[in-house]
Amino acid sequence: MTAAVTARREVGAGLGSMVRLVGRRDRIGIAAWIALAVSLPLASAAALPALVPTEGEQVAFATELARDPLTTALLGPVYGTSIEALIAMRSGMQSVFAVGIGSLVLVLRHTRAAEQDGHAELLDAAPVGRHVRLAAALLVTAVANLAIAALTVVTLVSLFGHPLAGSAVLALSAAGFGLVTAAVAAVAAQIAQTVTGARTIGFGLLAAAFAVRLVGDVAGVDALSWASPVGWVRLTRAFTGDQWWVLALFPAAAAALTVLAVRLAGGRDLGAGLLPARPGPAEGAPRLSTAVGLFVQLRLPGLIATTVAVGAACVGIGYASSTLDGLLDDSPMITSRLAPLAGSTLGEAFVAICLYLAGLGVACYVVATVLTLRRDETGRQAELLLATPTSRGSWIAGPLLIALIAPVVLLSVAGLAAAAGFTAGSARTDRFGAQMGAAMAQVPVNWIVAGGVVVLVGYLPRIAVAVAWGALAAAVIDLGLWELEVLPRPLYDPFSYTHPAVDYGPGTLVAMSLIGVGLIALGAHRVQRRDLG
Amino acid sequence: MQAGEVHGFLGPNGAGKSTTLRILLGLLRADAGRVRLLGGDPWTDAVALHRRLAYVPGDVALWPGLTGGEVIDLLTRLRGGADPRRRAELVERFALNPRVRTRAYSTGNRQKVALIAALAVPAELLILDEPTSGLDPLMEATFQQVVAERIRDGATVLLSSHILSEVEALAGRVSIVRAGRVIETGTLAELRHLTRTTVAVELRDGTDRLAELPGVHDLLIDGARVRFQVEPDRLDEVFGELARRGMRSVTATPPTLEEVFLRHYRTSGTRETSVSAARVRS
Repeated sequence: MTAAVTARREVGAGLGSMVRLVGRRDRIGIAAWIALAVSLPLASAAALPALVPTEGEQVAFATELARDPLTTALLGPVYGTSIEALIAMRSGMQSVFAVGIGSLVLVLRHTRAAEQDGHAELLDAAPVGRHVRLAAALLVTAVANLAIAALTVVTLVSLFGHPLAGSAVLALSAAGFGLVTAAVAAVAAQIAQTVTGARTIGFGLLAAAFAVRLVGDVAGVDALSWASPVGWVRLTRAFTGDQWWVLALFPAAAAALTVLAVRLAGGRDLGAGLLPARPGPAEGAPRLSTAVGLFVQLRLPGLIATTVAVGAACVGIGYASSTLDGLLDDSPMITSRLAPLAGSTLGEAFVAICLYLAGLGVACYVVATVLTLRRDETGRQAELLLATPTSRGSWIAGPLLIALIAPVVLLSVAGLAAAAGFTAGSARTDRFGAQMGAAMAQVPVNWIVAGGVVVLVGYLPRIAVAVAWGALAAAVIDLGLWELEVLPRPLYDPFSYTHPAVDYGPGTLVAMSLIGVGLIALGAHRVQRRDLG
Repeated sequence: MQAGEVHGFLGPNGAGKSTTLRILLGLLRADAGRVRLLGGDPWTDAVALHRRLAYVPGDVALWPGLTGGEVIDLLTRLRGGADPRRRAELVERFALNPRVRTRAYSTGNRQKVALIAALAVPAELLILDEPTSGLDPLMEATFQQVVAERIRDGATVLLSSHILSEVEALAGRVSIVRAGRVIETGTLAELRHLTRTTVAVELRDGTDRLAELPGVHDLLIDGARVRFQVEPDRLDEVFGELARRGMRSVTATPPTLEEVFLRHYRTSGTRETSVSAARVRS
């Protein structure tokens, strides 16, 4: 009796401390994630009534969307024509990604990543229960998901006056999916031996669940939609006959997966996985003989994957945009807001906006690429490299070359793909050049971004990472405030000069390119002359 | 430092050893003083000097996505290339699995990767920062053999460490660093000469009044057995007296480097008159 009680107490020993550790390590990340996940349904709730203000427009919009197979593929079926139904349709799949990716990353960070980095060993050697680390990761993730749901309900009801029941079903569908993803991550963490491997399994399962739902919805095979947790998110039918009982599927699936994860964890050693890490090459490829070759080897797979993803997304966006042509062209609100894109149809305007956003996305890639210099420095790989006959110049050449070339590659693929998709959907070939041009016009601003980050790495190395990301975020917020007409004009924002609502000529692009190259030269000059570390 | 020697660079954590090495490698610029390495300026002639040396950092950080074999090839090619047979031989002697991604390596294995990459090339100068701190005793022995071979081939070695046995086993001459300054330089014999020898002796004719002998310290008497330390320049007198009293058995232990080292750190500040500035010559 006493032994049984003690044993039970030992299973959960240290859970409180472990939960506090997870919360303490990731408090900023979790807060940012919650804010982002809550903002997605709110953005739809705020934007859609402005886009389709009258009931007649809402019905027309919903009918049009229901006919479009691409909308069904990406967002799922249209269940109703009310504004709430449209909000649920627009935000359901967005929440799947926000909540799913966040839960997956958070759980893996405190399970497989902790084992790989070695601090799991330190924790597990303390008097804590065998699965307490896993339990703490799942618990914190579950609480964060429920917090997202609670905040979503409160804001949807209080700010937008949507019905409580529907809001709760919508929010709990997302939170429920988060629970399932967290449990999927817990299983993936047991199977793969590396974080990369576990992430691949986790994201692969998410993508598979999305694909099953997509095929089910598009082909009208209900069994497939019901077989996928991604499908359940829409099958709860928020605001359109709230199916509360469907919500019970999420905790049931999460519990089953958690039991599986615990079983798998009980049957393996710390640090080991069910799938052993595959051995890599015993010898270096010929290109691994210069600093630039090293950087290419490290970054090329990521760049190729990003290019393929950008291309696929832009084909879809281009095609989907072409179906918008003719739809709502007569809405006075639309024509006034898109006035700067004079002469464009709604579909063309949408492509232009998406390509502009692609430029902002590429900026994130550029910032991360240049900041690898800083990571090399703080991680001490630069020390090892620069103690060989490798000059500072060749060390920084790799990241800078990629930062200059990647925007050209990514944006030309984005432009080409969007134009191809648009042409395929609309059978109009006359927009090809303009759309390519719109994409390529975002290259110079990315060179400015690259230059700005090199200058930071050169002159303010210790705060370069925070300032670089902070400045990018500030630039995006600045654009948003300008677009919402809170600010009369953007504040010294390089992204504003090639905004689709701004008239710019080749002179602007040449000047921006020169500024970018100048900043790169300035930063590179300094990096070569300062102390390392 | 002289060419062809193994120079130990000794000091506790935080004494400035790694910083000195980074200055020598042109990664940091010296605030004051003149730094010369292989006849060149480490800052302005970095690339040219690096062609002639190989470096193993104390805390080896590798690129997580590459395998150990890939890193070895990268570093040796950057240093001008290694004989593939030599590379294969070292991988075998250090018992490294080169197909493992570096993120999965232990500290010792990461250190092996950096050591193999440094020892596989015919560098004139090896700069090693605590190279065996992560290695097991077997691998440490392998390391000492391989470095000894490189020295036979004419290489010069600068070996930084706070692990005294590591330096003692290899180094001919030693510099002791404290708070960023070299406070003592010399051969091990010279440094030992400054330090007391420990003597344990069993005497036939009594142990009284031994403590009054000049140069004898820390005397312990246990029946006929005596243990004490003696200053180096009083050895003759003390052993003469011991011989008069009749010795049944005697062991005299030369001071270990550890004692040399501890003495410098205990007598804080008093010996810094013999400072030679933190300037390392080759």
